[in-house]
Amino acid sequence: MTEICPLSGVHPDFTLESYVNLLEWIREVAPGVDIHTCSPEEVSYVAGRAGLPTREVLGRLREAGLGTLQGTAAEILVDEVRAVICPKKCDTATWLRVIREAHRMGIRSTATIMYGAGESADDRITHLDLLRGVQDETGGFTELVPLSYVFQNTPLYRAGLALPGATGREDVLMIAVARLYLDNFDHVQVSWGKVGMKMVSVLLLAGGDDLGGTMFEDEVSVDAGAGDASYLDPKEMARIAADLGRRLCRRSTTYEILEANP
Amino acid sequence: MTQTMDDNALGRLLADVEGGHRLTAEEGVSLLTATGPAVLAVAAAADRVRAARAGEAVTFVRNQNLNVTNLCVNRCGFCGFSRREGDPDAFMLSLDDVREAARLALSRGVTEICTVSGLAPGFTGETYAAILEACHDGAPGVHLHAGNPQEVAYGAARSGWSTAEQLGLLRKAGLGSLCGTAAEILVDSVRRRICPGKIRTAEWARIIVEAHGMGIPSTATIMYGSGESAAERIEHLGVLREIQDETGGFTEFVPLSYIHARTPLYRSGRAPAGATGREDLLMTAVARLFLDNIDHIQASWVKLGAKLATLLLLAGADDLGGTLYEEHITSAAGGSGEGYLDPAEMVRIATDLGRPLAERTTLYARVD
Repeated sequence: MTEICPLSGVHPDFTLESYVNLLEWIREVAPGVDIHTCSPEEVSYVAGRAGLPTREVLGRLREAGLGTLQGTAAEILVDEVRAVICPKKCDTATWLRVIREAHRMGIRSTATIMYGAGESADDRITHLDLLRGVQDETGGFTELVPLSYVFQNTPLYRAGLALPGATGREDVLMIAVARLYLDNFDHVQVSWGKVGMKMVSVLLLAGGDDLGGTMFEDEVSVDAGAGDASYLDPKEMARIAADLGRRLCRRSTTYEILEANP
Repeated sequence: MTQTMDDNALGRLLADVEGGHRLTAEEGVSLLTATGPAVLAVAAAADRVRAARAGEAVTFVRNQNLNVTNLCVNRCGFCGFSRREGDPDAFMLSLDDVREAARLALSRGVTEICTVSGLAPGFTGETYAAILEACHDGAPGVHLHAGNPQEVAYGAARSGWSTAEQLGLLRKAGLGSLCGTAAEILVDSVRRRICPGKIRTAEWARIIVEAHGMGIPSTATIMYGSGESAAERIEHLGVLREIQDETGGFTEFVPLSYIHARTPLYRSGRAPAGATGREDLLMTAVARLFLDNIDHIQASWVKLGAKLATLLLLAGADDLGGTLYEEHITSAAGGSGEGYLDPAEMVRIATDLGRPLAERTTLYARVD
């Protein structure tokens, strides 16, 4: 394993020390493994609790072992949409600011979009445009990870406030248009945990180039209603790649190639 | 082994097909083995042919699925449904149950009842007729889409009469159309491996032609992704195309993607984990291009889910199948979908594609 990706709920008791301890503990137990964790939301949250600027929090996390930041909690970077789907999250401006701070400190991150809960095509493009702008400035994003809304067990859907996720057409176009629009991103991931392996195969033909991680565990997707999102066996990855006539390569979090044809 | 075509050759071939050229087997295989940008090019061509041949509407049938029993003398390798007497989840509906289920279906406003079952050890040719009569009693006027060449052969053998007699009996009992299932892969060497207990290709074809000749139309199917080759898939399509040239009796083609998880073939390491998404896309697209004499291609949401079904509707398919209301066979094999596709969801899919949704009957007349 070359990456550990801890993601949790924003725990009411968590403080900066909680995150520092977690990072130090992971680093002790798994030295040399990239710790890919924390979203700008979590950074903003603990900074608020600690009364510290986010920049300083990022510094403390890096000292404790943070390797790369997760570009999650982006959802849709349009405040009117956030007001409906995630009113308690940090606003668009805060998300962007924290990401820029991280990138300027040499902490790279992924970028994500969580689409299909009812935002418009315009909203999706606004979101991509903001990411493109940041990338022009910092070059700090390693990849875009479009995350298709898994609706089944979620409050929004149950309350009749969201659609049953994106259609297959929307999934293909999200990947394809992201590839075409984000001309300063090299990598677009296809998220097998959200859309399943058959869709993934097609998405790799529509602009996607990365399969994400083996994961071993993904309670977030499974709890939302995704069937079997826990573990993707590299043998199955190899089958998908071979079927497409492409080579499977294992990479690090920051896209160094570690193993060709694993 | 892929047979790659360069972009120019592919473009020319697709243009020829759109202009009416009938694909040869070799050309069919080259399309099925496409990778890279060629895949979506084939899908796009299939979408154009779909528009020309089947129009813009995405059709569906309001139907009720009814499996009378999962007891089966066969144990086909790709099947998770078949059970033996005494198995804890073995079931057998009585004729009263069937009548009641048919009544329920009628109350739901279905236009079709679709019934196939395991080949139960106690069934005779007359049992199948009795099942149809019970359906008819419970739901008079509802089209009965039932049986398949395997069931017909089984019932005829059990009763000691010809398949023509069996078909005649079923028609008298109310049969509207035959399911073109039990086709699996119409290549005997594959059948020997995946379903040795089933009738051979020639017998399947003979019974279908017999049914069509008696005025009983049927669907056509393929069950792909359990390890057969692209050439074998094309050979299967070739058999169907030839029958259709002869009889015109196929109403539609239904590609059925192998659901692997709880099947003996997969568990014993003898089959892959189903078809890949690329293979699913190309199976539909190439079927549309190859079967120039079958107007309708179904996207099986039961097997593949709504997202992939949407893509297949952009790759040559024009029909979403049925509402079903109940589904056992795919879920027993390990499929994770719902047993019911709400027409409201179908509307969303069609609208999202910019096409109208239209309800049809089994025989593709429109329902208003």
